[in-house]
Formats: sequence, C-alpha cells, structure tokens
Amino acid sequence: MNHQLFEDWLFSEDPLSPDQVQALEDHLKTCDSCRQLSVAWSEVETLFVSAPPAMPAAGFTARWKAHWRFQLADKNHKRQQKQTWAIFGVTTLGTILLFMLMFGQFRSAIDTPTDLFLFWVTWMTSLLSYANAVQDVSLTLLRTLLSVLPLSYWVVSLSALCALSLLWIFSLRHFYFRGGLFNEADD
Amino acid sequence: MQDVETEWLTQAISGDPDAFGRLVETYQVPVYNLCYRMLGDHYEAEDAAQEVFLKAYNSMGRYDIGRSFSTWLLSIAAHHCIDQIRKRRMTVVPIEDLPYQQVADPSPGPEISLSVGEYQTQIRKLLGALSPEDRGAIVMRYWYEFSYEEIAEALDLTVSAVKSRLHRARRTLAHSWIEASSNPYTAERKRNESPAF
Repeated sequence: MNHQLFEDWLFSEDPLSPDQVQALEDHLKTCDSCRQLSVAWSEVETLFVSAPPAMPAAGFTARWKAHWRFQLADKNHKRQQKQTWAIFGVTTLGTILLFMLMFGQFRSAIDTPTDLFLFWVTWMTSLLSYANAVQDVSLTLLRTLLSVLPLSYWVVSLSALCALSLLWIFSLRHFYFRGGLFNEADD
Repeated sequence: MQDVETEWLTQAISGDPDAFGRLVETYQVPVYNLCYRMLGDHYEAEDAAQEVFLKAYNSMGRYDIGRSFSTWLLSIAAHHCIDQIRKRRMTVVPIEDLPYQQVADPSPGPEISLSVGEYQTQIRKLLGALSPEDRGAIVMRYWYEFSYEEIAEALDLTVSAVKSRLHRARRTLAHSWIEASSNPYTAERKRNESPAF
C-alpha cells in the first residue's frame, strides 16, 4: 500500500479533489498508522491554534529604552576611544618623522662633540634672534594700529571675536555631546 | 491606527527614539512570542526580543515604508533566533556557569490558570524537535498566519522551499506527538484526556 501518497495529502495544505478526499478517507479506515498520524496532527494543530501568545514581563519598553541608552553610550565611548587613539597615532608618527628629519640634518652637521655643542649654540642663537625679530615687528604693528584705529573699532572687534568664540565652543559641545543631549531630551 | 503607525514609522526612520518606543510597545508581544517559540526559554526570549528591537532601530534606514513592518520585524526576529540556536549548539555551557541576570520574572501569576504553563511546555517540547528554520516557518504559519510568500520573504527562502519545510515539520510534529503519547507519564494522563493536557 502506498502510505507516502496519503501522508503527503495529510500534511499538505493544498486543496484535495473530491476523489482524493474519498480515497484518503477510505485509506484512513483501514490503515492504523496513517489514522494515528492524522489524529496526532489534528491535535497538534488544535494545540497551536488555541495556545495563548507568550507575553513579556511588564515594563518591556522601559527595559528596551534603558538597553538602547546603554548601547548608545557604549558606542559613543568606543568612538571617543578610537578618536583618541587616532590623534595619538598621528602625533606619534609626526614626532617620529620630525626626529628623523632633524637627525638627518644633525648627522650631516656633526662629527665630534665640539661640533655638536657648536651646532646647538648656533641653532639656539638663531632661534632667539628670530623670536626677537618677530616680537619687534609685532610691537611696531600693534603700536601703529592703536594710533590709527579708533577705540570703538577695537571694542566692536573684540566683542565679535568673543561672540564667535562662544559660538564655536557651544557648537563643539553640541556635536560632541549630541548623544547626551539627545538622552536628556528623551528623559 | 494604520496612519498613526505610518507616522511613527516615518519618525523612527528619521531617528526619533520616542516614535520607535511606541512601535516597541505595539509589537513587543508578537516579537517576544516568536522569540519564545523559537528559543523555548523566557530569559533567552527576553534578551533576544530586546536585541531584535535594537537591530531594527539601527536598521530603520534600510526599512522600506511600503513593506509590512510586522513582516520585516518578525523576519529580523526569526533570523536572530536561528543564529542564537546555532550559536547555542556550538557552545554548550553548563547552566550553573550561566551569569545571573536581573530580569523581571516572566512567569504567569497565580491568577493565570495552570493549563497555560502546561500548554507552553507541551508546545516547547514539540517545537524543540524541529530544525531552527522549520520551527521559524511553523511559528510564522500558525501564530502569525503568514502566507507562504510572507514566510518565504521573512526567511529568505523560495515558496516551494517553505512548502516543503512546512510539510516536513508537520510530519515531525505528528510523530513527536505520537511518541509523547506513548510516554508512560503522558499515557497515564491520556486515559482521561487529550495529550495536550
């Protein structure tokens, strides 16, 4: 007897033709195993259809919001860590490159400890003379500007500068703590 | 309700967590129920459902508002649970080693009849006999009345693969039911009532 065909009909949701329904009914009258399967499946189906849905414990949404905030804070923390490491890496790389460049110049200029001392003295002297020259030029420029421009201009310029600085600081704060502000708004 | 939900969806897509919170409130039961049917444990279902909503919130940018949100959400839930079952198979951890988690007690209160718990146990045992994908297809078919096409879309399968999985799953479930009925404990009960109780 071909049980496979009847089992297929039992477990299929496709509609059966009247002949197939009759053949299945006739088969179930004579075949214990197929009848058992048919009864079993019909009981399982009844169980599934009548089972109430599993419910989460009360406060699911509040727990989700807490979970989400935690994930957001964790993400921000990781991003900050990444940025810190990137800045540290770039700075270290820059320093190494600078030292390598300096070392190249240093090597070409120095053969003995006396040369090394002379090199440093020359280098420091030129650095100080540059700084002195910059200071002289700046002071002259400032004195000229003070005598040429009126006091009101300086007040307006300084106020605008202060306002721009404050704007910059608040923008930075807003972008940096965007998650935090968002959370505060959410609460 | 549909218009309100569309508004929440639009707001959630633009990153509004409050709007998404309302969607969580609306869909918590279907998502939790699917996770519980798939995983068979209240604590795992709670964790999984929370993760599913986080994944959905983070993927809202990819959600097409023309599609059914419940199908999309339950698809994420089904895939997440299938992954969890696979991971669970790979790492067997003794229950004593599992960390204690402070989660609200999900067990029903005394006012809820005992038969609810018996129903759940019986269903959990039956579904446990199926592969994760077959379990997903059965849960979607019988608890959410998804069409073959919707199941296929949710589980990334073809319609014929869904039909074949459901067919195989029904056969396995019927055999498991017969086996459970032949169990001495269940058989004793069956003298007076259906093996469902």
